[in-house]
Amino acid sequence: MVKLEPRRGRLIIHFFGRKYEWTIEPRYWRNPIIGLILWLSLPLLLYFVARIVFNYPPIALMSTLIYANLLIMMSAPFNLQTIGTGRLNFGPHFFLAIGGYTAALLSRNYGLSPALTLPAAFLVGAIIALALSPITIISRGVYYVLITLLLPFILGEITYWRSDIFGAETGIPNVGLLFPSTGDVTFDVLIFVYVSLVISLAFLFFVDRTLRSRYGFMMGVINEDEDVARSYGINVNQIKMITFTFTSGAMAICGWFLAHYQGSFTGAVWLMPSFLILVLLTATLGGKGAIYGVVISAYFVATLREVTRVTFGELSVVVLFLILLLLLYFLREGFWGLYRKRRYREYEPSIKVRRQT
Amino acid sequence: MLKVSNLTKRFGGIIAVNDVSFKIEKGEIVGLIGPNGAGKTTLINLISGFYIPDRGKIEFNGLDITKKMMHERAKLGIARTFQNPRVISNMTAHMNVLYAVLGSPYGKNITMTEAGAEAIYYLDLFGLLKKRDVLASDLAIYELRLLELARALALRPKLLLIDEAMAGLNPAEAESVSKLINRIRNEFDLTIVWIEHVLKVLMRSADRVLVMHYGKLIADGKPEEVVRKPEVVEAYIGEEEL
Amino acid sequence: MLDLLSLVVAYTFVNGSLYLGMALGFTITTGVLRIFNLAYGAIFLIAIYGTWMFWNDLGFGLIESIILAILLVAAFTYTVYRVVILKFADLEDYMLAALVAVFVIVEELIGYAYPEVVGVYVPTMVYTETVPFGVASIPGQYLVVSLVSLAMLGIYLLFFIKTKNGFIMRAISQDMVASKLVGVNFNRTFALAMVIASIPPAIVMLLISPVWALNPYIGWTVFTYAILVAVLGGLGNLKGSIMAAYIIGFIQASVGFLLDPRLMLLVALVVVMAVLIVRPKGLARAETIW
Repeated sequence: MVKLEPRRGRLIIHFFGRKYEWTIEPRYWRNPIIGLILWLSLPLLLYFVARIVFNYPPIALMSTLIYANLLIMMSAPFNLQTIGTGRLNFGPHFFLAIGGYTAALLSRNYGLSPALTLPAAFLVGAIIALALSPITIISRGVYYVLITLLLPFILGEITYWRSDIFGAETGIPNVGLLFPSTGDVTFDVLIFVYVSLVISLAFLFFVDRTLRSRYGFMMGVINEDEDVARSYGINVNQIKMITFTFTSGAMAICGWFLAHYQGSFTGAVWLMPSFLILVLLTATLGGKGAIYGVVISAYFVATLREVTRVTFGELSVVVLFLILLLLLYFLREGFWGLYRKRRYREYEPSIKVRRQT
Repeated sequence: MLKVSNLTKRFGGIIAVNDVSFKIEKGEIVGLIGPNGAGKTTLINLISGFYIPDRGKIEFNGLDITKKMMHERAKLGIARTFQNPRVISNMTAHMNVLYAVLGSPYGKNITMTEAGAEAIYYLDLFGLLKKRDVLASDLAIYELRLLELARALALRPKLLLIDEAMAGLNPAEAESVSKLINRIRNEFDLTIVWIEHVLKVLMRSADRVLVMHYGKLIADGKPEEVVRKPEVVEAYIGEEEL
Repeated sequence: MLDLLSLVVAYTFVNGSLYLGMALGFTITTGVLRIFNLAYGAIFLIAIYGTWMFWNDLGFGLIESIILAILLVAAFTYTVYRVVILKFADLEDYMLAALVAVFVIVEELIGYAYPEVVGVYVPTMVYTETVPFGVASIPGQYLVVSLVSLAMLGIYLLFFIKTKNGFIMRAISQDMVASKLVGVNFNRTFALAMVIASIPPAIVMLLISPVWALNPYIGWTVFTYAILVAVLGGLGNLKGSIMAAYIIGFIQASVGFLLDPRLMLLVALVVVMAVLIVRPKGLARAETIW
């Protein structure tokens, strides 16, 4: 039934008649562990330096970190979805808003705790995604881009139409917070930083594992040439639909986090094209299919966003986007391209919009 | 093993495959010839599941596969190569065989490492071992044709549909490919349907030959007999002497 | 009831023609040239605010301002082509993200320079009277817009179907990257086509602006209609675009007058998505221009 079989450098798992393999190569662990330790200690470090050395509550700093983690939480599933469906989804924020509204409404109207709204948000997001998933099979190329681009507008219109339920521009207030306040607002925010960090880590880990597995490999084949994939035994439709469903559910979890972090949820803010661009650019600057590059680009984008906001005020979006566009042009392989280890197994996906299959 | 009955496929006004029926027994090498545009590749596409026929039935080992999807047919044991080699350029030769190994009916029961080793085996069979880490976009046409065959074989098929294995090859390469195909038929107990324009080679290897012309099947029999039929000669006027 | 029905018919025609005019440039660029210009919506903003800037801030006459604004639109489109589309020709995911980013940049710049309170108004009213239609009446300006849209459509059709240049553009649009390899001339042709495609929507927008509430964020609304028409009709297919535009016009008019005006855009969006599930490439039978 379930049996574990240790071998040198890997663990073979027999699971109900199927065989899976987990490669355990400690020599490749050094850099990720260093990176992980740095990443985990960064918020604490910044917090204490700001509080104790400079005697200044670093709320803006902490919320920048949260925003960065939020970008990771969106970009990691987004990258997986792009590879697994072979399509570019221009409406990931639609699912974020679905998750956010679900969590907010359930919390405010029915008093459900965050522990319960989490699976609810995921399920609602996943079910809607499952219902929409046939478009990953039916629509291609620019049609898919345009259709997914329209999804957030549909949701926006619905929230305006039934503003009695969704609160239109003001959103849904009085959503329960993720945990009762410790009394110290800044410390609360620090805890939120770590919650978002843990979620980001979980997403990154899951995406990484998937991409390294045979499913990731098959996704690569689908992404390159669907007909070949089908001819060689890969159930393309199933993989696409499952990928789309689960990654969209993950994005809904981002909405859940936002609702219980801000204590409210305003769809209008998150359904805007400017947020879409930040997610897209974080994902592309991270490097196609490169998971850890997303961390670097997310922090970079979030920091840049905060810096431009403080420096340029109303024109911050303009400056931010201009800088990001320049980066996009000069850093074609993304941040991951600056640091790359070529292993014989490594496959770099290419993302095609204009496709025949 | 394969029974095709009244198969018809239209594209708009063009009838690419017109009421075609034939049977293929296990272990045969059946050549499929005909002028360009006769519908040979379309027929292969119908058998492999690339297209669904407008009319007719396809039975594979007694099972009606007419409406089955491509990947289901692949798992049942039907593999095909493509006329213009359609390997994944962004991946190495090794990777290209690897996904076929994973896609085979036994793919679920092996780990990636085991699949990788099996892929090496197939590459070696076709003399591509040295090129295993070369990106498919950097391979020559001869190597690509071999890769197509290696990949198809990695699917552990019962029926192999070959769409022009020798186009673009010089005589020595063509000869070597033909020998390989015969060898794998014997070693792996395959049944082969082989579209080819290099008729000399095909006639030597094939047990039977099907001739298509304008979508219709105009001849079905032993190579020597088929070649003498007036309809076949007429369809091929201008072709090389056999 | 009769007046409601007259209004529905009237506004089907009027709205449909308006959306057609808005969508023409986009469907030609995306479908025929196969250039997926997601910054298309910025054209509308530049046309209006450009005219305002030249006329109100810089003191040019109205006609001169309009001409200058249209030149600005042309310059913008050309710049987008050279700087974004060509540079990212082989990295389409980057290109699309970059194009949306450009749209947002333009929108934010305009929003900064001319926030809503400024009360931008473009006096391009050609016909100030209302026109009776059956039992109801509609503002004459709407009819002007409709006629101009239809005229543009006719011009496009003539160009792409009857002229040699149009035929060449259709032929080489199949593979933009490959044409880039063949020679620079093709780039000039494409750029020209894209610029030409961007001018009629600007004109249509300028004509409708006196009767619409203007703010820097209508770019997305208009772009949404352009997408709906283009996608529903089938990218690049003019016959499809006509059908799509009037279908959407009808949906909007009937929902707006007979149901609830707040549902107008929503119903249109849902209907388009539903159709696309059944006909993924839109209503048109083929991906040809007609």
